[in-house]
Amino acid sequence: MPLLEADTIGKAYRGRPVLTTASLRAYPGAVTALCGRNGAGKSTLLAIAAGWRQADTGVVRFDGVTWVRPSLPLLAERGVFYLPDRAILSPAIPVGRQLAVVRRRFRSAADVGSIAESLGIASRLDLTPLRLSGGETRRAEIALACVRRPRCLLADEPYRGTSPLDAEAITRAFRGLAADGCAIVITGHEVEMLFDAADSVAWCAGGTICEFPSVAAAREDWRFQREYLGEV
Amino acid sequence: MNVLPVPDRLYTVPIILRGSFIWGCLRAALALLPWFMSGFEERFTVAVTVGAAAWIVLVVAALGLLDIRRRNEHLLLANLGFRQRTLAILAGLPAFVGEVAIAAAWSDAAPRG
Repeated sequence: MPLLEADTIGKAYRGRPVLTTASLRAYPGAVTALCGRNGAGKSTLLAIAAGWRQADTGVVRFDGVTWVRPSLPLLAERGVFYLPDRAILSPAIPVGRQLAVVRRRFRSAADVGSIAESLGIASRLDLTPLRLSGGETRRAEIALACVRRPRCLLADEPYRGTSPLDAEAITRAFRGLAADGCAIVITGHEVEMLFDAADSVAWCAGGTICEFPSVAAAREDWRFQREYLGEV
Repeated sequence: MNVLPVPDRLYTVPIILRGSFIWGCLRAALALLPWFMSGFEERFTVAVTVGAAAWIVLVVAALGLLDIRRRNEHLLLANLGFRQRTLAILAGLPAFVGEVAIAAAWSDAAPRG
């Protein structure tokens, strides 16, 4: 049973439908890779599932409760953490202090030092995000999620701007959260990185979602191969 | 879970300080511009009507919220469970306190209406 479910979501921008009947499910202890071409509506669907944007039609269910107009602050109190595809750290406050705030806020037992070490940002905790590279900032944001220890993590383009070695650290972080029972959905265009981390695949195309129970099943689907991976 | 009414002071103090700065700038502009434009002939006053004071508080809260959004702090604070209205109240708090203080200090000089 999914912990989070965005059910039959429809969304249009200025009359142009982006999503029509898209459904996204996040299962406890599993990582779902949300794939799709540019403009397919992945980020929109993720933002709607997190309560950051409102859908035109459809509902969001979290932990058995149905929300017609969900809001991120309310879902966050119940265990959702949303990483959008842009910076969320305050640019003027050192990273370590922001991680400590998250830890205090949710009385998390997470060890900030070891999380920062595992993500390769331990030496950057005293710096403000303005002094970090793009990849370091992204890892610092993922460290926020790890410190939060959410029940459900929705991460939009978590691998953006990261090197292969750093991507491995991020994948390990996701797998660690999933091992603790966290339901995770990740998006992006780094297909191999996403597939390394994922248990299942949700393909966003034509305003709706096609779900594959495993990465292997997605790879074997001829339509997914042809229309997303670009393989003949 | 620790349910706090306002965000950690790491975020709250800068929001209030920035709200104070916005209010100070707005108030200075509102007081000095008419005075300059009158060629220093009108009597200098910072007193405004209750309605104008309420508008000033609302404008400062809105500008403070825009500044929070510009810094992307609203996303992290939303992830920490804080709603936009809480942030707007924090941003507008210095303006509210300031307007109350000015109304108390200039009560005799304040225009009626």
